[in-house]
Amino acid sequence: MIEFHDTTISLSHDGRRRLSIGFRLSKGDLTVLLGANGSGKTTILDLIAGARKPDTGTVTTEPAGLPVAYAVQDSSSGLLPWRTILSNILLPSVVANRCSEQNRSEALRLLEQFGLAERRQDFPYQLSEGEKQIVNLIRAVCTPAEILLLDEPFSSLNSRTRALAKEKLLQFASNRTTILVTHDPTDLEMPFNRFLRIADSSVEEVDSKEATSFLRNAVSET
Amino acid sequence: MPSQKLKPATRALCIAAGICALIAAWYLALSLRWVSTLLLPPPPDVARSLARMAQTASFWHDVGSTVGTWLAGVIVGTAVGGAFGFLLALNPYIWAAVEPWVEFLRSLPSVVLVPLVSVLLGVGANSRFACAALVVAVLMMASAATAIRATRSSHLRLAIAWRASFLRTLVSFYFPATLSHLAVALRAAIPLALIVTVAADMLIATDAGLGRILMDALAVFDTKKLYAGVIVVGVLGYLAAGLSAILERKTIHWSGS
Repeated sequence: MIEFHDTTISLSHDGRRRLSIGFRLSKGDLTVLLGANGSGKTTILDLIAGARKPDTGTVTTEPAGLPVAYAVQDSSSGLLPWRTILSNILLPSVVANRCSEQNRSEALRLLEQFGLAERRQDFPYQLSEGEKQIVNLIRAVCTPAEILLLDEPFSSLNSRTRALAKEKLLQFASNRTTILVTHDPTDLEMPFNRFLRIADSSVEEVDSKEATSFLRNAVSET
Repeated sequence: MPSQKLKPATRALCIAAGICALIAAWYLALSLRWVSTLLLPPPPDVARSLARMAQTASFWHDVGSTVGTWLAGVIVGTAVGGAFGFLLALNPYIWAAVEPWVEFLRSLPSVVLVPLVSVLLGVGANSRFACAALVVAVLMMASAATAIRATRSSHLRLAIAWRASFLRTLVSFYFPATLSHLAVALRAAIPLALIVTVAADMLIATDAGLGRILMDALAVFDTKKLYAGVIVVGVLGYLAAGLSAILERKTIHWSGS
């Protein structure tokens, strides 16, 4: 569960741009978060992850104290350069003291499915941007967490890998609270049940038609 | 074109050609009488002087003394400076108080520390070691602190999201990030420590060390021995720089990414 209660946060150093947030997501919700560039999508994910503190109001996550799975937007900076691919994927489990053989075989199985099994002992600098993004995604789904945050997780993937990534993500998202940030209208083909949009410095709930229309307009404007 | 990587054999050939060119210029300067042989003895005389020195036990004692002090200074300075910089920079308030002193010491020409340390610790091997360790420690402190501040915010966001403990964040995030900065700083620290060790040999007038050979040669105006001593110090510095580069490539190969 994720709940924002009367939450506000500044989006600029001078405090002139503020974002008001108030929504509640339950376990099993598959949510897409939309908004223009710089509107505060990543800030919302950071608030949920605990990486930023709100200026006012509260952010509650349940179960409290458990790790939050987070695939950050910049996949290059999300991976630790001194760790191998497999070690990067297993790190959240190690941090949570929940690294098991099952964890390891799950990671290896996913690497195999994405054609990266042979690269498991490579280091991030040896991978392409798309491969790094896959590793980020695999790490997120392998994190022992009930909250899954995905910041534009498919942006560097080709169409075939993207389809596979979406399929795998849906398998892992079924019993978690998931938020996915995207600018791509094709991502809305996934069975989201919640649609959040940032507009006029606040977060509002919209339906799938409005979400699709927002992204299509955004694409046509660019 | 300037970034073109040479094959090892080609590179070795270029190095040999560079040495030959220098020796040829040396001979040319002497044959055209640009420099007196008293000030610049012919290469074979210097080579003979070096060979004679190498046959004496005292020469190897001097080399051992300088190299031992130099290495001990690098190891102790790296460990102490790296650890202090790492721990102090974790707290921004403490680091703000310490940073001006570190920067002040770092800005001083390193040789200036030699008379200062000898005043505090007296003349002898301890002062020489302290000088080498101090210049390395200051460099490493600044470098470790820079690493802490430069640790990517994206990595720390993940550490927080995964609910990593403070100790885990130190071990898994800050410490490896600091290592790469320290390895880069070590490449600067190794030659700097050699300069200070040899300068301390000369200025503190210790009873052993390569600096002492240079000072003794200068005192009796034995220029052949002086050049031979300079060549030994230069070769040591060159080998150390090469070794530290190899060490950096092997241990933190990912840092160049």
